[in-house]
Amino acid sequence: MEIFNNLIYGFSVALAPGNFLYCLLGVFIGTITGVLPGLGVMNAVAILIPMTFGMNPTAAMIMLAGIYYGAMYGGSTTAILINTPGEAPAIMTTLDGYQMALQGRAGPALGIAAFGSFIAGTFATIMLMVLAQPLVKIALSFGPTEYFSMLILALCTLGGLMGESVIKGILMAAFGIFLGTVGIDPVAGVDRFTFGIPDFMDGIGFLPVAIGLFAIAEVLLTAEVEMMRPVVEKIKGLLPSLKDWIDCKWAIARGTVIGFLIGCMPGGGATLASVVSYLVEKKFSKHPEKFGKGAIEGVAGPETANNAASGGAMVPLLTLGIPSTGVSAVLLGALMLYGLRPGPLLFQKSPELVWGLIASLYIGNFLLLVINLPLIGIWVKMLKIPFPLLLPFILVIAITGTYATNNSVTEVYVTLVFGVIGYFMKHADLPAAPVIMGIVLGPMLETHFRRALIISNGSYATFFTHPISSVFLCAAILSILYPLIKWGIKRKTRAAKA
Amino acid sequence: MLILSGTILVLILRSPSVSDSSGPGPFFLPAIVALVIAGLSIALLVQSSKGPEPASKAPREKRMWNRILWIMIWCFGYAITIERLGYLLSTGIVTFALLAYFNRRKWLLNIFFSLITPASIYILFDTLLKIPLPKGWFGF
Repeated sequence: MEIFNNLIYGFSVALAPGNFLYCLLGVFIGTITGVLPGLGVMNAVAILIPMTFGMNPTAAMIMLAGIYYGAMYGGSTTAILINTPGEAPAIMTTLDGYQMALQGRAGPALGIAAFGSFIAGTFATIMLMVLAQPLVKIALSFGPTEYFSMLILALCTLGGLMGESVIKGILMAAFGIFLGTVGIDPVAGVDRFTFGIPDFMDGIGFLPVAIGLFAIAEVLLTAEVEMMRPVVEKIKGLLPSLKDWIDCKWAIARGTVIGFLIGCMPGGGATLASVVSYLVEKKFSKHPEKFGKGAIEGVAGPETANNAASGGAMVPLLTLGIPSTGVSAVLLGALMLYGLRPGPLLFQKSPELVWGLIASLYIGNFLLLVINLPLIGIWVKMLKIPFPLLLPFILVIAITGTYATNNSVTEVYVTLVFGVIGYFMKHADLPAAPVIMGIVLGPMLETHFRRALIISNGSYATFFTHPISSVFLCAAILSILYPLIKWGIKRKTRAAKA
Repeated sequence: MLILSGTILVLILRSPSVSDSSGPGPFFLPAIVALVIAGLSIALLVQSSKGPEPASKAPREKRMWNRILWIMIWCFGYAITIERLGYLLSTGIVTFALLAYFNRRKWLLNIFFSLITPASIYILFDTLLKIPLPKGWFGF
C-alpha cells in the first residue's frame, strides 16, 4: 500500500506542468540524440547538465532520465533506416531492422521497436518500484566499511565489464580515481596535485572531463572520416500486424526480463542486454536461419532489452547510489552537482525527487510511444542533416556548457585536453566510461575508507571481519580473477588440442 | 600511463606531509592508485608483447589529422578569446571557421549558421536559463 501512496505522490510531482514539460523535452531531446549517429546519449546528458543548473533537481533529473531512455528509443530509428546504430545498444537492431527496411517493412520494424520499448520501460519501472524499498532497507544498515567494499566491487566489475579487456577497464577506473583525488583533501586539508592552480583546489570536476572524453572525443572521431548515409525513406504502415505480434510476443517478454536483470547488474548496460537478447532469440527461434535476413523477433528482442536495461540501471543508482552504466555514472555525478547525496538516504531526504522521477518514467515511456511514431517523418528528415553542419554546433554547445558550469575558462581547457585524451583513448580501445566511474566514485571511496579506519582505530582487518564487507571484497577479487581463470582454461584447452 | 604513475609517486614522495602521516594520510589512496596504474600498465605491455597480433580491423579511411588539428586549434582559440571578445563574437567566429572548413563553398549557409548558432545558444543560456555568458571587451 505504501508503494501506491508513494506512486500517487510521485505522479502528483511528475504531472506538475513544469516537470511534465521537462519530461517531454527530455524524451524529445533523447530521441534526437538517439536518431543522430555520432551524438551519443552520454554526450547529450553531459552537455545538457549545465543547462539544468537553473532548474530544481527534480525537474532536472526527470529531463536527464528522459534523455537516457529517449535515446534508447531513437537509436532504433537509425539502426533500421540507415543501418547505423544511433546508440551502441541498437547495434543488434541493424542486423534485422535494416533488412526489414530493405524489404519494405521499415514501418512494422519501427513500430515493434517502439511498442516493445514501451512494454519494457513500463515493466522496468514497476520492478524498480517493487525492489526499491527492500534494497533501501538493506542499504541503510551499511556502514562506511560496507560502503567502501561495495564501491570496490562496483569499480572492479564496472571497470572490467565496460571495455573489451578487464585490465584496460580497471586501469581506466584507477585513472579516474586518481583524477578524483586532485584538490584539497577533505580530511587533512592538504593540497594534492593542484600545481597551484586555484581552479583545481575544489578538484577536477567530473563534468569537464565527461564532456571532453565523450562529446569532444566523439566529434573528433567522427570528423576524421566522411559520413555517407543512404536513408530508407519510404515508410508505410507503422502498426505491426497480428502475425508480427504473435511472432514477437515471447521475444518481447524474454527481452524485457533479460534487459532488466542485466541493467541492474554493475557493468551490464543496454548494449550487453541487447546482444544477449538477440542471441537468446536466435537460439529459441524455430527459424534461426531467418535471423540477419529480416526476422522481426531480431528487432523486438534487442530493442525491448535495451530499454528494460536503462530502466534496470535506475535500481542500483537510486537505491544504493551505485551506477551500473556510464550514463548512470553521469546521472550520479549530476545528482551530486545538485547537492544531493545519492544512495538510500535519497528516498528519505528527497522523496519528491525519487518518486517524481519514478512516476516520470511511466509518463516518459508513454510520451515516447505517442510522439515517436507520428513524428517518424521528422526523424527521417533529421537523418539527412549533414554532419559538417552539426559539428560546430555540438562543439560550441559542449564548450559553452563547460564554461557555464563555473564561469571558468580553466574548465574549458580541461575539457579540451580530455577531448584529445579521449580521442587517443578510443583509438587505443581504452574505455572512457570507467574514468567517469572513478572520478565520481573515487572521492566517496576515499571518504568511506578513512571513516572505516577511524571507527576501527586504524585496523585494516575491519574490511574482512564485517561479513557483508568481506563478501563484497571476495566478489571483487573474483571479478578480477575470473578473466584470468578463463584465460588459463582456454590456454589449457588449446594446449590439449595441440 | 606508466609515466603518469611515476609522476604521481614522485609528487607524493616530494610532498612534505608524507613523513608526518601515520596511517592513511591524504596521499595514501593516490599512492595505491599510482601503484595499481603502474602494475596494470606493465600487465598490458606484457600482454600486448606476448599476445597474438590483433586481428586487422575493417578497412578504415586514412585518418585526417588536418581535420583534428583544425578543430583543436579553433577550440583552444575559442577558450582563449571567449572572455576577451565576448560570447557572441567568439562563438560566431569559431562556428564560421569550422563551417568554412567542413562545409566548403556554401558561404551563405555558413554565414547564416554562424549567426544563428551563437544567438540561439546565447538566448537559451543567458536569457532563458539565466546562466550568464561572458560579455567581453565590446559588451556583448
